[in-house]
Amino acid sequence: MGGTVAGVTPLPTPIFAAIGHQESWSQIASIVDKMRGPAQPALTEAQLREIVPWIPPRTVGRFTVAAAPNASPLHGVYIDTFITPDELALRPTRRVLDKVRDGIRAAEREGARVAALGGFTSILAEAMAIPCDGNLALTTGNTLTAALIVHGVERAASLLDRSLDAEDLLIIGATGDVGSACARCFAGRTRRLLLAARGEERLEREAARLRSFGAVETSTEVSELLRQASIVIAVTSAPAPAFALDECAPDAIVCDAGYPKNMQMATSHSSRRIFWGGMGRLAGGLVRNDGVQYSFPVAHSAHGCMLEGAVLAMAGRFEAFSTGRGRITPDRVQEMWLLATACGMSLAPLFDRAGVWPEELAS
Amino acid sequence: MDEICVAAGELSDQQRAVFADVLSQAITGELIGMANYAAMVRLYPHQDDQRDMLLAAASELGHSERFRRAARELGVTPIVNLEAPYWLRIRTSLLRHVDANDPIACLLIQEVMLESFAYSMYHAVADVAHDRLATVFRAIGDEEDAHGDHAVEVLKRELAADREAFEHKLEQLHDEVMTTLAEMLATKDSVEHCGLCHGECVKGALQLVGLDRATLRGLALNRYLRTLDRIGVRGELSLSWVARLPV
Repeated sequence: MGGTVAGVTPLPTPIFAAIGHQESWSQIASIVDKMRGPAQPALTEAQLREIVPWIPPRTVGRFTVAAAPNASPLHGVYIDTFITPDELALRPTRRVLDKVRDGIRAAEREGARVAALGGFTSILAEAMAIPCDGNLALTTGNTLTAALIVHGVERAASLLDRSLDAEDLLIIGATGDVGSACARCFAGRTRRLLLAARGEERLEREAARLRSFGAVETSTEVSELLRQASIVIAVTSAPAPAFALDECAPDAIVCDAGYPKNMQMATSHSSRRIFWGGMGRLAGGLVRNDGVQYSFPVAHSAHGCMLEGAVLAMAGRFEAFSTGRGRITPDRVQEMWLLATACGMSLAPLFDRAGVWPEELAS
Repeated sequence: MDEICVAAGELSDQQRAVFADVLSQAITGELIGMANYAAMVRLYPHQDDQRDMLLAAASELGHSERFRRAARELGVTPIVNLEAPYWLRIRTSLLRHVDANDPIACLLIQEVMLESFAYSMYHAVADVAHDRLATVFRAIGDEEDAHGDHAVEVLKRELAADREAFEHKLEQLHDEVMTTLAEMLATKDSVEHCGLCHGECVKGALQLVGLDRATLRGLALNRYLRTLDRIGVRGELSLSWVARLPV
């Protein structure tokens, strides 16, 4: 894209793309209302529901990333599929799958070399096995997400003076791509590994691989394992949690790593320490030029799934690094972590909806 | 939208009245299109281009005649009113850009904005109408689609030559023309009567034939945004323009 006529400033071609969707109507409202501008009244949710389902997937924001403050920035785009929160709650329809496909086409139109699939788009793209044109590599972003979750849990334990080998770690969604990667990374490092997932057969298969490293228990009923857990990693993606965190230890550490982040809804006890898992930060900056995307309490931070595309672009590796279907090994997590840190990325200071953890501020 | 697709003879008087108002919009829109293309002839110095404009005008006239015939077969009398307030506003906009000798602005109005609404409305009606009416709407919708490709290529080149100037012009045209088109399918009107409905506004009665205002609006804007994507307009810009249209 971009003109080549003398005197005309061409639009910088983005080298990477992040494809995603919003998790709530309020997030969608914030984007649409900012686009409408201050002169126009905010749209009601009913009006948004009339408009948003018809918006074709498209770039809604452009940003730059850099490995260091003085390094030359790389250009990226955020492409929203406009899959609505209502559509997320249902079984994927052809219309939703088309939105993922059109989101990928939008990345191709932009000229991106690598695109990371965030939230539900990675699950859907994996299921559809969408082909890309020759220049675009698709990555699910799940390897970097897993790496950030693992480092996040380690960081939380360290900040709270807890030793992982004395903890019972529960992974909810343990057979998913991210959940299984986390289970493999923590195998043998905690007192017990508790794995919960809906599919019994896959769960047992995953557990069998890990039992040689240490104690592993499984259940298809989350509540059975919650009572035993002192650390919880939740990587389920559901509009609302289907379990009550109040059943786990009162001082439990909870890594909310699903999408949407809704674990706060699942507990009434403020003593449980919840943080948003899978969040990374770029030392050289992640600068948005539009102001329409949601922001986090920590500057220059974003979801790991979105950052994986930026990391691969900065490393010059335009490849489908994460391809889904439970193939993420601890070695691949380590490889991605080394790539990411070499690109100036680190774990974002732990935070939740209320803000950055006080322990992070004190440290 | 619900599928109705009942045979013409089985339509109730109320359903027939809805199709009559829809046909009034279609016929008037096609005649406005015809007049627009005819006015655009003088923007082109070459005979081949002039001939293309005249052929496009003739095609639009042909569409309006086919819609008139469909109305006769249905036993309804459509209202044809080139002075209908919304259509007059759009026609006035286009003539202003003809006077300014700006063929790109005219292409954007006629081939991108008006065609987006025409194409999506015709196909939506085709999906719910009875056999004969469905065939007419679908065939004309497909024809509208076919002649948009050439315009997209011209507009792509124009954007590539100077993106900022092109997008700036497009934004102004959008505010000028799309606001009117969107209002035609919005909940509130800025005019007392659109000048084409036989009685009260048809928007509230569309569900009688399986259509609905919100879906028609959504389909049209989806088509419009996709056309702008094909031209290469930045997605975030076109979305910000559409976000401020009347709902």
